[in-house]
Amino acid sequence: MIKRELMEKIIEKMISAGADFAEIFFENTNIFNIHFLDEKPKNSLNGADFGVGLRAFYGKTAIYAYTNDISEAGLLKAAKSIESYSSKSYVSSSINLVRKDVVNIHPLKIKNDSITTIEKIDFLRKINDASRKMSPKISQVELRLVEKNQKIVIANSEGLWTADERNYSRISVTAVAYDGKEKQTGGVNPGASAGYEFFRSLDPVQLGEESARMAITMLSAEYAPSGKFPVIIDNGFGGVIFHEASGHSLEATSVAKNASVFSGKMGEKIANEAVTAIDDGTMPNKWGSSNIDDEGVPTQRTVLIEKGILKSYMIDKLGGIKMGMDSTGSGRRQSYRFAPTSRMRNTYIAPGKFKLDDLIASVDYGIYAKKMGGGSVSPGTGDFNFSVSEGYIIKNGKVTKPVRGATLIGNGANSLHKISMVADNLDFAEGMCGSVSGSIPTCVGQPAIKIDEIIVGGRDGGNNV
Amino acid sequence: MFKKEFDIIFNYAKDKVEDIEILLTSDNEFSSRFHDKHIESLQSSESRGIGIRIVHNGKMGYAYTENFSEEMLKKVVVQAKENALYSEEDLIDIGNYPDKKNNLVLYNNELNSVTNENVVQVMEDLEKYAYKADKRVLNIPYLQFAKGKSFTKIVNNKGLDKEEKHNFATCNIGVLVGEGNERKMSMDYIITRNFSQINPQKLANNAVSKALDLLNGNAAETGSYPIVIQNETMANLIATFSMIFSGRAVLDGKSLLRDKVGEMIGSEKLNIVDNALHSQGFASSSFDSEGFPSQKTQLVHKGKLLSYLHNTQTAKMMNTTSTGNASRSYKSKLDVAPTNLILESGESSLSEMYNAFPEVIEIVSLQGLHSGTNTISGDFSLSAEGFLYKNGVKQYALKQFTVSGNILDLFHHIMMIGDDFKFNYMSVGSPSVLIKELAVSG
Repeated sequence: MIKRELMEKIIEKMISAGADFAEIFFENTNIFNIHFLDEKPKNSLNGADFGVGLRAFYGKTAIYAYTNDISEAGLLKAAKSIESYSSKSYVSSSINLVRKDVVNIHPLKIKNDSITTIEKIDFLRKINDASRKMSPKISQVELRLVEKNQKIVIANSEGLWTADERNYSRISVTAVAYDGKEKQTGGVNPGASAGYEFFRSLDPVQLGEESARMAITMLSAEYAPSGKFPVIIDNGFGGVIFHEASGHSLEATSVAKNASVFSGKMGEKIANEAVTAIDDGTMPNKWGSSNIDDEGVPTQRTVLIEKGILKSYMIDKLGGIKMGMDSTGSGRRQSYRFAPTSRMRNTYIAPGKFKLDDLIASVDYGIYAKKMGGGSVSPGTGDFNFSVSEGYIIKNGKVTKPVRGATLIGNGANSLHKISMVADNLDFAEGMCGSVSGSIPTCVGQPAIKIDEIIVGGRDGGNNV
Repeated sequence: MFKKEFDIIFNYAKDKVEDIEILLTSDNEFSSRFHDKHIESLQSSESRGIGIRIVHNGKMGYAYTENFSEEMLKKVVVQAKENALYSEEDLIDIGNYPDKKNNLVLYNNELNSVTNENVVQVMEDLEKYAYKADKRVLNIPYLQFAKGKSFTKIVNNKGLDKEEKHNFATCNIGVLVGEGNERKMSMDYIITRNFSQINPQKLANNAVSKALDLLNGNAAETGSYPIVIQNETMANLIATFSMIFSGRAVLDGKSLLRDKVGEMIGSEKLNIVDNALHSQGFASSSFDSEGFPSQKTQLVHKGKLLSYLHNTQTAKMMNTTSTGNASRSYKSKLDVAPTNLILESGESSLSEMYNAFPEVIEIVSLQGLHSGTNTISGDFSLSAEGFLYKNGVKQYALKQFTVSGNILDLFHHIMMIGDDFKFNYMSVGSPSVLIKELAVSG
């Protein structure tokens, strides 16, 4: 893709201008997606993302430049724009890159482009048909099949020269139910860091039926109550609460600037002792996994919180320099268009000893949040929000009628203390996480958890208790 | 510019497809972040991409590339043709559309002469003024300057050949303040084509005072309240629901405004326009992504829905004409999107709104707009920040609370529209509005 001698020359150029560290990130990505709607494949798209990002550290300042022009002239121009910000004088340097191959623990079994578009459309049609068969109320089914193959090469002034290939397969299903007055939606979005074998492992009928079931259920649901209640958040995408309430605030991106509610809290109790939380980039073929991060550091399994005690932050190279700590292999970026920073991978709360039924039985009046949507957080204040897309009222320890989507809000610094029970049914769900280094694939996960009290943004009076 | 690339594609596609359109964008960007008296990061870029749409056997196919090698430029033609085989998209015309004269100024050369020193000076000043504004300022986690210029060119085999240049500069600051264990954060920003309009003192003071106002909050009492939604926040909410006006969403059964043209969808005070020719809007342009000339479109007049937004494809399906709202990047497929979407100003002052009821909650920011809203049902449940007013007098800030409702109910419940119009950073604009009631949970 790019010659060793040229990479050495570019890195030498940046180091000669006084950089403490210099890096090249080269990317060649191919995408393919199909949009299926109105019971037919609407269109499909091929794309080639292609470019290079150069980065240099001058003290605590990181300078980044990117271009699609990977000719020697294009790269020299980008390197020159980096040098132009350096105030340091020339130092001679000689870089000797040594190729380091990664051990691939996320094998790609069936290349996506070896499968015909006809087979892919057939898979989509099965989901569509199953969904519409559930009820005449299903008025629309929208499907997006997304395939992405990203090849990267990373080289830096420490002599590192490595490469990786990431392959992503994901299907998103949205069913719309309409009763003549209102519309409600339901959906699933499974994905993996794998090839077409992932789609073959899925049951299209189940995907279609599950999406339709959610949409139809929500059509007959009443508004959620408003006020403070105990909430049982079920497994899988329920992990979005940890992602928002603490995950982002444990990234070096905000911690290093002393702009996180968890800055300087290492070794302190920041959560209920029922909570152990892990960020793991090594789980084979998981959506948020990779062999190396986008700075070339092998990914790892990082225990963030153990029995309520803060054990580690998520750290990238620059964050590590600022904090005096080692990288945890957490440097990630959407593409060559972004400088990497510390990000989550597959982040989850470890399983506990209870059963989901134990959690529900412990609540007199509250909400059972079966399916979750996304959320956001302000790491500086710790204030977070995330949405419930399918909820139910719990009354006297039993799940009763369904309620519509509602946002739950809280503060990371105290909500974590209110997680009092953790079940044993750990599961994961895939999402796209947006932050300063772009939109990247991450998994959230957890078993069912009980939060003793959280504000529920419903619309129904609030005097239900 | 890029004549060689266009020639390669056109020549290669000539005998292979019926129609072809090439969309190219070329961007230059520069951005810088500043923290704790030093430059945290600098970033510069030169990037470009080509996206093609072709018609083959009467069907549309797409492909794009950022790699401009001859091999890849030819490959996109082959890929797009292959994709057309399986496409059952509604028919699209690749056509030639005449230019319409306009007075838009979308590019200011002056921005090219802004130096790195100018930028650093602005950021140093911003940080200095923010810390000086109040001793409760704990940290300035976000302080960024960015400027960019973008060149767009659309050429097709029907004779259409249009290009345009845009540029902008933006500066934003996010301030963290605290007292005791309480932390609050607020942002302020400016987007402009005149560097001299960036006033660091004003930006810093605004961000700091907005954040300080939120301190020492009390919990909101759960219930139903009359609500004032502040101008920029109302614009953010409208931006989130803007797809309800899209002719594409209507055709796809995803808009709650389907079959509602001619009906009242809001209070009589409500007027909404989309205006791609607005002199202050940063979504202005002379033509859309199909090369169709830009226009001003009245969507809602005195509460009545008059029109959807269209590209030529959705317009044809609904027997009307394009409103010049075709939206497409070289990476994406043809869609419909608003340009400068505007809820038009009324005549009420903020103080009239605060005094309209014995108790009023004012919302100054909403969080989780991407997750707490359902654009298909119109329902929203969002995290909010704001203040409680009693008899027109501000009582105190409210601790983080939620506000819930449905966008069409909200439109119907608009009682007053302010005279304080403001664009948000996505070029959606609104004045502050008074809503009869929304559910609050705290």
